[in-house]
Amino acid sequence: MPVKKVLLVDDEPDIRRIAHISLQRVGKLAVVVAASGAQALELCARELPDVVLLDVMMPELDGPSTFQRLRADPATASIPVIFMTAKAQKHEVEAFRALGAAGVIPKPFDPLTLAADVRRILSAGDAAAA
Amino acid sequence: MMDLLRRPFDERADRPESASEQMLRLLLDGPLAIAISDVTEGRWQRVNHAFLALTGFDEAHAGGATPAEMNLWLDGAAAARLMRSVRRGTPQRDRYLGFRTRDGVECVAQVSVEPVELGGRPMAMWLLADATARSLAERALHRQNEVLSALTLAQSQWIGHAEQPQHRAPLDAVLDALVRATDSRFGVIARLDAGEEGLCLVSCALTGCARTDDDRAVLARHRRHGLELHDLDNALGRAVGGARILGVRGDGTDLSLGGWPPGAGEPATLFATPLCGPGGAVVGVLALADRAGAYPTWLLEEIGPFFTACGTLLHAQEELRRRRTAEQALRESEERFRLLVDGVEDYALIMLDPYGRVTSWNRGAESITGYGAEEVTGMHISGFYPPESAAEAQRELDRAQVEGRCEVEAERVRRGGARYWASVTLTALCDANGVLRGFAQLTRDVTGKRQLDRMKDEFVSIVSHELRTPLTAIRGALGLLSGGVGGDLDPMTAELVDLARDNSERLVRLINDILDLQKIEAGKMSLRPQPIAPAALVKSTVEQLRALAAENQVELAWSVEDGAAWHADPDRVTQVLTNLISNAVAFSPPGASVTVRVSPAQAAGRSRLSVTDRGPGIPEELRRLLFGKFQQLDGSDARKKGGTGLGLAICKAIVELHGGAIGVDSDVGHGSTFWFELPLSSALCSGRADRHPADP
Repeated sequence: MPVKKVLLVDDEPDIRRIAHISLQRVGKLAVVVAASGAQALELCARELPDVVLLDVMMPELDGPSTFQRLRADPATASIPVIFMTAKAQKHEVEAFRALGAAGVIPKPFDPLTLAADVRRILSAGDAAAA
Repeated sequence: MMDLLRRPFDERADRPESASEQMLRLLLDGPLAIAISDVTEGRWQRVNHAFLALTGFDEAHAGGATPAEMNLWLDGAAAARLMRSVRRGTPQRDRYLGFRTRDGVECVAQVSVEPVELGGRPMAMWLLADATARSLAERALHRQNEVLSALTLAQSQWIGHAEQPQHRAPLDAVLDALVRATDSRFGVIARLDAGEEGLCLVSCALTGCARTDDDRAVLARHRRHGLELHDLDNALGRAVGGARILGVRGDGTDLSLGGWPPGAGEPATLFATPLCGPGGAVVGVLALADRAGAYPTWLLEEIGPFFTACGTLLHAQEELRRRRTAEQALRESEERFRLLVDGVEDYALIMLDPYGRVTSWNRGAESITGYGAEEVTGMHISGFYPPESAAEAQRELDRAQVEGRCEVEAERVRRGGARYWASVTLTALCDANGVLRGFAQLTRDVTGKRQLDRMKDEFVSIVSHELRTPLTAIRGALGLLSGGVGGDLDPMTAELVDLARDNSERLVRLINDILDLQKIEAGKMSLRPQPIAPAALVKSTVEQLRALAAENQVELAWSVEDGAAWHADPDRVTQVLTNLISNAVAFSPPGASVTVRVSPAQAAGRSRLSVTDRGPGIPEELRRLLFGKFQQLDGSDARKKGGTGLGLAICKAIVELHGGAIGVDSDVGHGSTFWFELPLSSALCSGRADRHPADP
């Protein structure tokens, strides 16, 4: 499934801005931005993006908790989620996958390849599903 | 010749003998030695056969002679005293007088002298009985008695002074008695000592040897510890060797005493004998010197039996001295240990009985727990555990008893109930027969250390997140700029943006390396070892680095000569291999090739992975620095290559965490080979050798 719209969730405004520009200008994607887990839940249900790029360490509602809530809501349960984290050791990546995440993009990410990385992860997931 | 024996008692009166004269004649014919002299000159008037037999003289010599003319009495004055007494009419009975036979043999007679009247003249009648044998026996007995009482006294003194092993008086008294009994001037008893400088003699008793003030001063100084004689090439040394020395100066016997007594030369006569302990081993030596004449064998036979007692006494004294020295050393060692234990404030050293009850409690235990020793002695160790884990105490004691020791890090309770974290080592103390005598518990308060560890973990976690977040933004922004997302850049701006981006990437690597190293050093890097096929891992790592190699115009080639599987964490091995290949590429000149090779290691159960470059090589003296932290050999060059200075330190830590080894061989001017060895998995991969040429 071609990716058109991304929900970008990060509490750091600078990271949000860089990722936003990268996804929009380099990746030619429509980007919806959320600054917290709570906002992400709201925007996701309303915008129904093709994929959620979800930061792990956020105050109040962190990445994994937000992910659980998205999964719990039938409206958002099937939307693939990719975690973005500085904790990207192999076993940590496996732990996120075990939660049901589509993949993990380690921080710091390369802004020139971010959109391509998102597409690659999703197509790999599709291939595995097929 | 005048018949001295038969002639009448009164030659002037030719008359028949009186009854008393007849009785006297009967006596003269009897076995008792009798001689009759006048009372003025003492000239012999009558002597009988028995007298002649006793003295060895014949009638011709004895008749009419005075004892002085015969040179009879050894002590003429004593004989004269007897005569004077008889002259006054007082008989003398059972006196002992030494006399000399005609042959010159000195003998002893038991003498009685009676005043008699013969032919109307006063006379002295001498009755002599040979007492030589008895006298000798009595003198011998006297000498032996003297030595025996000295020995007996010495033994009782020794028992009385046994608490003072240095006390020398007992042996001094024995030596004195021996010197007196043998009419010697000088004597020494010395014990054999096996010191650090070899065998030597140490005087235990010295007598009669101080002849000058200097000698006396030396002896006084050394009286307590004894004089030492290290040169044993003399009569004393030979006596220690088991020989009995008996000699007179000038007879060819070596009589030198190695300088003993101080200041004296060789003695005129000498007797030296080894002294043996109860087991027969030589424990020392006795020497007696300067007896007038010589040391006769009979004299030595007389006192010989006492040498055994001397040896036994010397042995006992030496044994006691050794025991006391050992006890003293033990007491000092215990005292040092006690001071050490008491002085330790940071560690609680607690001794427990076999049931786990406190028997001793040092100052460290007081300062950690807040309890004084007098409060807790006899208390069970479980009293210092939190209530919910009090049962652990017995389990830990049991474990220490079974396994020898038990180490735990757990909570304990201070006086007042406050809890603290304790690092505890409990060691079972058993005697030589393996019987449990108690436990030693060493406890350290690690509450502060645990807090520090937690703070450090938190700090690292914060650093990893907080540093990376702005770096992510910087790197992202620079990446977008250099990628032309913000529009085309003029060449100089593009160069500056690239420079900033490269350095931000280097900063990211540095943070990652520091975090990795911290994790390893804190023991928090957990390995997930599994069987790895070398070929697959090498291939994928090389493929990932082909772009980097191409950028540096370096060719990459790899071969696997040992396909046995490693038992290792694939991510970590990849990290190490990536680091080594990146280094090799960075330091290779353009056009050179880097070779990765897996081969059998010399050590069994391992295989070796090596990365060979054609770089400048590393001088031997610098090779050992390579695997330290921040050890780039040529700072400017290494910085140009973008290294962090931690890569090889991390590689070393990772390889060692696997139980492997890492190293480098280098030929300056020709290149280096970095290698590491990993343990093999029990499961073997295909032994097929794979070889892959450099990129076509």
